[in-house]
Amino acid sequence: MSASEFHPAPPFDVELAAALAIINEQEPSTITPDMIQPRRAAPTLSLEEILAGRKITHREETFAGPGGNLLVSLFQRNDHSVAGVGVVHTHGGGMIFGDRFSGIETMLDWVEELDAVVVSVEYRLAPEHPDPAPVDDCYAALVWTAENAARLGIDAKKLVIAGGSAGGGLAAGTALLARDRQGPPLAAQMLIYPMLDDRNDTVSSYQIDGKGIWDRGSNDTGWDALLGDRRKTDDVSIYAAPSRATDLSNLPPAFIDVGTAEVFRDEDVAYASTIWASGGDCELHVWPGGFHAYDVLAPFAALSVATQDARLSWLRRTLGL
Amino acid sequence: MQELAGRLKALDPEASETLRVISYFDALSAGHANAEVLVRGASMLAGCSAGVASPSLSLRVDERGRRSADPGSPASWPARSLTGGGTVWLERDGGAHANDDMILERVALALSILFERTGPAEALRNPVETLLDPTETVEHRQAAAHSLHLVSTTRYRVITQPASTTTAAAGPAAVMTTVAGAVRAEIVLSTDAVAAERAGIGIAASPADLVRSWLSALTALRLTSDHEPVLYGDDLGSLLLLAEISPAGAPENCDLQSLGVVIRETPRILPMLDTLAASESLRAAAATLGFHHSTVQSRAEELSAKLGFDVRTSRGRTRLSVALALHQLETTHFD
Repeated sequence: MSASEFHPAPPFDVELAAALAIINEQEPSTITPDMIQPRRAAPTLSLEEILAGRKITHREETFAGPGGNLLVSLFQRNDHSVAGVGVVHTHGGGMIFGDRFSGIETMLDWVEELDAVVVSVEYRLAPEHPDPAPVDDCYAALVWTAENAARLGIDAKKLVIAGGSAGGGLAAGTALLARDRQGPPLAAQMLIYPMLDDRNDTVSSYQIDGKGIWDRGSNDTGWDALLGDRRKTDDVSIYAAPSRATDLSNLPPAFIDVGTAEVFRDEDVAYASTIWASGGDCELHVWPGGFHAYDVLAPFAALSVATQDARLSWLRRTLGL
Repeated sequence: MQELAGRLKALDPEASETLRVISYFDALSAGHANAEVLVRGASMLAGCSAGVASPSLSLRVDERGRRSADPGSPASWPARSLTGGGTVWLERDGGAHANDDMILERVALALSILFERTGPAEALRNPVETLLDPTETVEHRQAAAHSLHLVSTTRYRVITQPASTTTAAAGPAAVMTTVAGAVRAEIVLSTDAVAAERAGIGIAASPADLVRSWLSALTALRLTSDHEPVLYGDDLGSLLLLAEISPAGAPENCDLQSLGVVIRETPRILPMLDTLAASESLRAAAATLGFHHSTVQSRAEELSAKLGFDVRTSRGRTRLSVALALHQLETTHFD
């Protein structure tokens, strides 16, 4: 396939388009391999800034993971007392960027709204640690959380795996590992515009090229870092690229959301279709005019607010809260 | 990709971010954003609640970006009135932040344009806007010219003035949102005499070509100054091309940067720079400025060192003229 065979991407939502013009001053559409190291050094919000104005306690724990000690951040309400929802959070950043605080605001809203306990994993990043290091770390964090549920104030029957972008792909891969290794039972998987398909060959992957956030070229950069020479070959597991899975039965109820004006649109819609074809339970939201991670980058926008509301509504219905 | 660096959030309370405010509201206006989106933009950039009360609609957006029923009391907040009636306000507690004035000005302008566009009397888009919109189809522009009773074989000009002008329009006119702010465009016969305090006068063109007249008139207006308050597109020649250059894309070592530094250091230097660029010799410049020749001589030396080129040479004067024009295009803004 090539770009000339396709219509242009759907237009950005008007409010998001205005925001994107400013966001693109700092966030280029295309991330190339030579930008990985410099961008890692860019300043991010401090923990104090993230927690400002919230009645939330943070602490860290470490345990033995598959590649040495694994660090997790735990967030809970100051007044948390009854064991309830536990969320294992796998952060985004294209498999190459970010830390356990990336995209954490969405999780902190759930801590406040649902009295959830969030366990956010500092998994190893590619390219220094290629597949399967990231997803193995995420699965180890799920197992650790399930084993320590009572101590952490979590009801093991209300365990959720959740993540956005690369974190959405890792959440989907972790859910598949839990299924195939008879690991901890999950109550739900929340896949926020997940990065699922190393082949990068959908219509949306061609439509978003040199525009928006995390475009076709960025996606190549992320997958190349994770998979190296194995990319696009038969030697890629369903845990690294969940779109490769043909049988998505026996998985926890899934929630998937994605914007129409982003690279992951078509692979995310296809993943939902495969879940349904496998007799599974999935709620899919496709938001018109959304660019990648618009809810995080422009949280005030009407589409972002509606997106966050839909996630909370699904969690309440699915977990019986 | 959920990195935090590019997140769009409230502006710095201390630092002025005029361009960001303007480009944000210009983009919303260009996309025909509704009133809630505009008010939410004000609220988001200011980091506090904001609201609008007008004959056609009233609403308030809280600091989280959500519609709120809680009615604010506009009287006690910093506010701007809208041209069609009504008020927009920011619910700022404590001292004003650096960008509050600019946010209010831009949201008030955007809301005024919106209400004018969507008000009952102006249910349809002003045909002048359609006629002068380069992104419109030829058919739409033809229809607009027809509805304005323009004759296809007659030549017209577009006259641009700051939207704040109090001169009554003689021909069909519209307030346009432009890179240089709110500008009134008026269509007159190419042979009409023009009387205006500050204006850009576009090249003569047939109705089908009035977009070109409009663009030249806009550039001319942006290049006007106190000592040249009225400029003709016809007189600008290749200088019209400068308006197509984006300063953001200019190379870092171009004269615009060093000129910007000089002007920031000494804002009152501009008349001297204009005179140096326009004069045949330092002696002529000294005569125009009413300074002694040696004073101008030493200032010219000093400026040459700061600018990185010699303003006493012919090439230096050309570079200075071009850099001044670019600087003016970048900084001129009409309310």
